Order: sequence, then structure tokens, then C-alpha cells
Amino acid sequence: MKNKFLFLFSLTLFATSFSSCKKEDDENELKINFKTSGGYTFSDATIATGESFKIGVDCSTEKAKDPIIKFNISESVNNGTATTVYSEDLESQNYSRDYEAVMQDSVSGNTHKFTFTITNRDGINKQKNITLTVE
Amino acid sequence: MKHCLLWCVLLFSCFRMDAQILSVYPADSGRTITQIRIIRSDGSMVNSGPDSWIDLSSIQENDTIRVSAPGFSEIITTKSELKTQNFKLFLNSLEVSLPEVLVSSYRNLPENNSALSITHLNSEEINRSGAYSLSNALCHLPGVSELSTGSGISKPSIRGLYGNRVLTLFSGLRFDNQQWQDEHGLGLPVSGIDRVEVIKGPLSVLYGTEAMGGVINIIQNSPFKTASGSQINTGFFSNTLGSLISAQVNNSGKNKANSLILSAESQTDYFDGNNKRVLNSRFGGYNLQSAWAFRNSRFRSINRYYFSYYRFGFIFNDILHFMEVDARRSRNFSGPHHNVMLNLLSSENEWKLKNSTLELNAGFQSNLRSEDEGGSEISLNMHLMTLQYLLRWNIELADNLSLVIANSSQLQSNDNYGKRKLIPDARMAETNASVYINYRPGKWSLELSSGAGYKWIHALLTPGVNSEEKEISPFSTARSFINAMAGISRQFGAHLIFKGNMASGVRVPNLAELSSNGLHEGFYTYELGNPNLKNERNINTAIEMIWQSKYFGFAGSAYSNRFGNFVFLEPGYGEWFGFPVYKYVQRNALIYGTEMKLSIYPLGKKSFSLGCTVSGLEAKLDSGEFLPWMPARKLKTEIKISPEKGKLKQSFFYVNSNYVFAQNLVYSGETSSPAYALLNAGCGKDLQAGKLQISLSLVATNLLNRAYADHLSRIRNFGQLNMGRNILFQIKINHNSKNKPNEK
Repeated sequence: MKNKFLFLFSLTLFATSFSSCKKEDDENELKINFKTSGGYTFSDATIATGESFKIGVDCSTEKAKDPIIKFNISESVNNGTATTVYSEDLESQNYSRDYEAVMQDSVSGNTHKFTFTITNRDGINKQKNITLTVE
Repeated sequence: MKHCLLWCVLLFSCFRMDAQILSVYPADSGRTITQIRIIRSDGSMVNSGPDSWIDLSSIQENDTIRVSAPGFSEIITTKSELKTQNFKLFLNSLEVSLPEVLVSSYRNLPENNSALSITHLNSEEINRSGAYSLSNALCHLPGVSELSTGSGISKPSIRGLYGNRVLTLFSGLRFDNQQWQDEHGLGLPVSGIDRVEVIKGPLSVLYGTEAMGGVINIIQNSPFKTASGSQINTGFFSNTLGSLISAQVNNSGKNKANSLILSAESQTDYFDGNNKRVLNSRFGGYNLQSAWAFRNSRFRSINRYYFSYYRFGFIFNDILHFMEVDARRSRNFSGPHHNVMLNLLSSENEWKLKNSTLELNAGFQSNLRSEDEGGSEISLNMHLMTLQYLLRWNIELADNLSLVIANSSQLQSNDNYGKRKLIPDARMAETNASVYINYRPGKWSLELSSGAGYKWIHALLTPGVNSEEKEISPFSTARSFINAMAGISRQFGAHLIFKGNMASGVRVPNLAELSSNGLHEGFYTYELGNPNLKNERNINTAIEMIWQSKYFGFAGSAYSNRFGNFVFLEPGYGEWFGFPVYKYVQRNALIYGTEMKLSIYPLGKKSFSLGCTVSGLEAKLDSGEFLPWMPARKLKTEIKISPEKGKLKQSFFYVNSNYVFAQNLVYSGETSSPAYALLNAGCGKDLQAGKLQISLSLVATNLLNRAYADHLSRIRNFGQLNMGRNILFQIKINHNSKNKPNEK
């Protein structure tokens, strides 16, 4: 009798191992938005050769324990391999950056996709991109 | 009257002659020796009866047998030779441990009878080592090291191979504690363990994938072998102000036995040799082990339930951003830590059939691992469940010919419940079948085995792992494999044993290697897996020589482990939005090395021994680059004293030094490690107080409080060192009832 009780007790503990198996939803803790005030390009656009442009981003994270550790801007031409044009190591809950450049490409119709990426300490990242087409 | 006596003597002599009774005596005295054991050439054993004699009737005339007794040299002889000596045998005293019968291979054989390189550590040796974890205890064996992330998170490395390249068995079944990640330790405490057997080299032919570097078989106390009664074991660690307590109750009868063990452990952050605290190196938890066994003349069954819940503080580079420095001896886990909950149900069964034995081990494992970022914020949360069995049928085809047919299979599922996911949800299945033959002509033992297996992995669509911007999609893969093993061993005279073996191993790349697609937290490298990675294969060739005599012992081995499609992380694949990209790739590699152990018994007795152990290896890719995380060469010297007489009887003393050479054979990007030396010492005594047996021991590791960082310590990259001086004081109290333990 005692043996069976011990075994049943053990099985009860075993059953409790499944009590915490509830899936958690992903949290949208990272935010990145384009600045939309005057002078900023904040959506896909057509730019003439030699024209300057400015793209600004505001970034934030809800969790102080998982700050933004890296900000990166990459450029991909005609959907080719992206190359980093700006990268910064951070440790911040909030971050803002403006990127100014002049369109050097003279080939009409070429597309330049700028991807803005923030990554937190958990390795979670968020991206926004803008595609500029040469006029 | 005289005639009666004469007839009685004659009748008695006839009886004794027909019964072929062997009596064994010490060479230097006339009293018979007790606890005689005869090992037949097929590995089966005959033990002496209560009157210290053995009946040889069941042994063939020319069957080679080994006759041994505790504390005496072993003799190899035959029954026909003993007949010429009137069945009287004299043994010389020899204070050397007899080889235990080991169970990790196809057949239960004494260590020296197997062609495999197999060694073991028993519970007494584990306790006397002063180790704070099972992995830490195992690294006292030649060829075994410890890959650690602090004192609580560690796993054994056998000849440079660890994680998914080393198979761990627990309760006779594969134990999977998500070893695909270096930060996931073995996670098993030392309480309730009878011994650990370590096979160095592949045994995939029997166990399937992952048994390519070696096998670690953790054998729990058998309820039948443990005397009825109770036991309390406590230990106190000076460095961490840690404590370990376990309580055990056993009830062992002739045909039924059960036991229950409860244990708890708590370790605070440790100090290194500079007396600097290694923040968040704390760990602790508790476990319950229960066993219920029964048997009759034809059947034996041991059923177990194991539960443990442990928390391990997690150390990484910017730990101070995750937690504030708390009280020096804090035991709470407010900072980042791993929670690991294990539930294991197992059943080991053996049937004695007419001419054979059938073994069936079956079990279920639940491994729930979560990573808490601190403040009860769970990021990673994974549940791995495994259902498996191992079936073995062993038949003696002849006196010197054995056949074993084995099959093992398992089903697994991995599910993510946290917001951060490193590997996808997946379902996996594997099966492996093999045939083994052992032929023993005379003093030779030949072993041949071949097997085939199949593994299927189905990765499910997992948000966070598979998403729009990620390259890796859910996949299914099915892999087949074949393996083989050939071994030979022979005893030359009474002292020399030679062994050689060649065995293949296989490993299907794990889920991380097949499907990684993200940043590795703490290291910030972007890691890309590849579902098309091929099976990793290896062929290991090893030779071993063992010499054992009254005053001198030597064991030396050399091995060469050739890998095809060795999987590792290679840098230099560009950048992912500012992070360096590493890819899992495959290359051919070679690991070769040697281990040697020398023992000297100046008095010809076990009670005083001097020992020296050397081990070293070199591991390279075919490109010439060294492999990462390879252990440095080691030199260990030791003096051990265990008096048998006088007031110090049943006590032990030892002093040893561990010199670890500098490790400069490193992978590109890996830093070298300087040499260091540690001094360790221990002493203890067993006392009897009525029905109580009390064992006291005091063990000091790193006695000189050296500041050092072992090459296999992952936290050395963060500037953190290994543990400084630690003194472990243990008390074990046994209370046995009148019942004596029954042999297994």
C-alpha cells in the first residue's frame, strides 16, 4: 500500500510538469517610425540625380532591460545585396537619427532601397525601409 | 569405529571430488579467502558460497577462467590446471581494485574484458573529489574535461567532444537536456548515483546518433543492491557557502524493493582566486527520485520516477545591465537565470528465457527549460518531450560465442512557448537496430557489430524563427545511416591486457545547426543554419595497453578520430545589418591524442599508492586550422593513503596536483589560455556507532587559491575566472536495518 502511495505521489508531481505550458504571444516592444515633418522623405519617392534627401527615424523600446543595442542603415541597389552605409552600437531605450545624402546614381529607373534596422539585446529587431527611384 | 570414520572420509572426499570444490588461500597464510569470484570466458560469474568455496562442476575442463578476490591478484587458469593442484589455489596479496562489471556496452563485462575504452567513477570517488556537479566530478577521469559557463552550467567533454556529440544515458535510456546549446548544462545532481561509466569513442552502432564522441552512462542506485534502512548525506561548501542535503529511505526484500530520495542544493555566487565575486554564478534546486522494483527467478523490473527543478544563474558580458549587485551571499534569482524542470519515468526489465536474456528499457522524459531575463520575465521557454525504448536480446550460442540483437527507438517533440525562439517547433523520430557478436577463443576476445538507423526531423512553421525577412523555411528531412564496430582484446599472462578497436559514429545535425536564423544572445553574432547539412560521420581507431602487477600499474591509450562533415560555426559571411554573420558549415577534421596513467604501490598494497596521469590531444580541420574549444594537455600527480590497520583504519588521505598546460592550439578568433596548476587534498574516516555508519570527509580543491581560467570556461571571454579555493565538508549517516542487500 505504501509503495503504491509513493508511486502515485510521484506521478502527481510528474503531472504538474505540464501546468505552465501556455504559449506566450510575441510582444511588439520595438518601435521605429519615420519622421514626417517638413524636409523629411518618409515614403517611397522618385529622386533626381544630384538631388539631396533626408530620412529621419525615431526608435524606441518599451523595456529598459532590453535596450536597443544597434542601429543600422543599409542600402540595396536594384534589389541586390544590402551594404551597410551607417552603423552605431547603442545602449538606449530611445534613439533618433537623421540620414542625409545626395543621389549620385545617374541611371534612370535604378532603385535604392534604404533599410533602417534596430536590434535589442534579445536579438529581436525591427525594420523600416524606403525605396528611392532615380528619375 | 575406525572403519566408519574411514568410510566417512572417503565418502566426503568423493562428494567433494564429484562437486569439484575449489578452495582459495592467501599465499602467505592458511586460512581460506572469502568472496571468491570466478569469471568465465563468456563473462558470466560464479561467486563463492558461505563457506568460502566454489563448486566448479558447471565449468568446462578447458574453459579459461579468472579467479579473483578482493585484495588479491587475479589468476587466469583452467579447471584442468586446478585439478592438477587438487582444486587448491593460492593467491598473492595485491591491493589493487578489481575491475567492476560494466554495463554500458552490449554485454555486461568487466572493464578489462571489453575492447572499448571504458572507465568508471563510483559514488565514493565522486564524493571524495570535492566536485560541485557531476560534470565537475567526471573531469577527474583521463580524457574527460568540463565545458562550463560558471560553476552551475557545465557539461562533460570527452576527448574534445561534447554536447550533441556525447550521448548521456540515465536510467538506461538516452537523456536529452537540449545539449545543442553550449549554455545548456548537463543539469543532473550527484545524489542517488551509484556510478558513472564513460565510454571514450563512438558507440553509435548500439545507441544511434550522437554517440560519436562517447557515452556517459549515469547509473542510479539499484533498490536491490541497497540495504534496507535510511541515509542522510549533507555537504557544506566554503567558497559558495553552499549546502547539499539528501535523505534516502530504502526497503529491500528478497523479491521486492523500493527507495525514495529527496535532495536539495543551494550555492551562492563563487569567489575566484583573486577573491573577486563572479556575479550570478549561483545555482540550486531540488530533486526527488523514487524506485520500485520486483523480481522472481525469471524476471526483474526496476521502475523509476525522477523529478528535478533547478535554477542556474546565467553569466554573460554585460550582466550588470540586467541585474544590480545584490547581497554577497544572496540566494535569490532576481537576475537572468535558467529554469530547468525534468520529469523522467523509466522501466528497466529483464527476462531470463530458456537460453537467453531479453532486456527492455522504456521511458518518457519531459524537459521544460525557460530562460528568465530577470524579474520573472521569461524570454525563452521550450518543452522537449521524449518517448523511447531500448530492446536487447542476448543469447549464448556456445561457451565462447555470444550474440546480441538490439533495437532502440525514440519519438521527440520540441515546442516553444516564449517570445524568443532559437530553434523551431519540431517533431523527430529515430530508430536504430544492430547485431553484435563476441567470440572468445582462449584468451582472445573478438567483438564485431554492425547496425543501421533512420532519423526523421519535421520542423514546423514557428513565428519568430520563420518569418518574411528570414531565409529559413520549415523543413522536413529524413536521414539513414549505418555503423559498425570491431574490437579485439587479449590477456597476456597474468598482468598484461591489450585492446584495440575501430568504431564508427554518426550525428544528424541538430535543430540549431539546421535552422538557426538569428542573433545569438550575449555574443551578437548572426547565425545561419542550413537544412541541407549532411550527417556528421566519424571513424575512431584506438589501442590500449593495461599492465597490472603487485607494485606497478600502467594504462596507456592512443586514438585517432577522423571526422567527415564536421559541423561548426564559421565566420566571414558578411554582415547582417551591422552584425557579423556566421554560418554552420561542414569540413573534414581529425582529432588524435593519448592518455596514460601510471600507478606505483611501494608496499605492494592498495593502501599506499603514487599515481601520475597525462592526457593530451590535437584537433584540426583538413585546412590546417585548429578546432575551437579543445582541452589543453593535463598532468596529474597523486599520493593516496588508506590505512587498513590501527586507529586510522577505514580512513583515507590524498594530495594531488593538476597541471594544465597552456592551450595555444586555437581556432582563429579564439583566445589562447595560459597554463595553471591546482593543488587538491582530501581526508576522511568511516565510523561505526551502534547501528549507525558515519562517514566524514573534508576535501579542499584549489587549496592554494590560484587565480586561473580554464580554456573550456566560456566566461573567460568575459574576463571571469574559475572558482578559487573551496573546502567541502561532508557527513553521511547510514542506518541499516537487519536485512542485507541482495545482489542485483
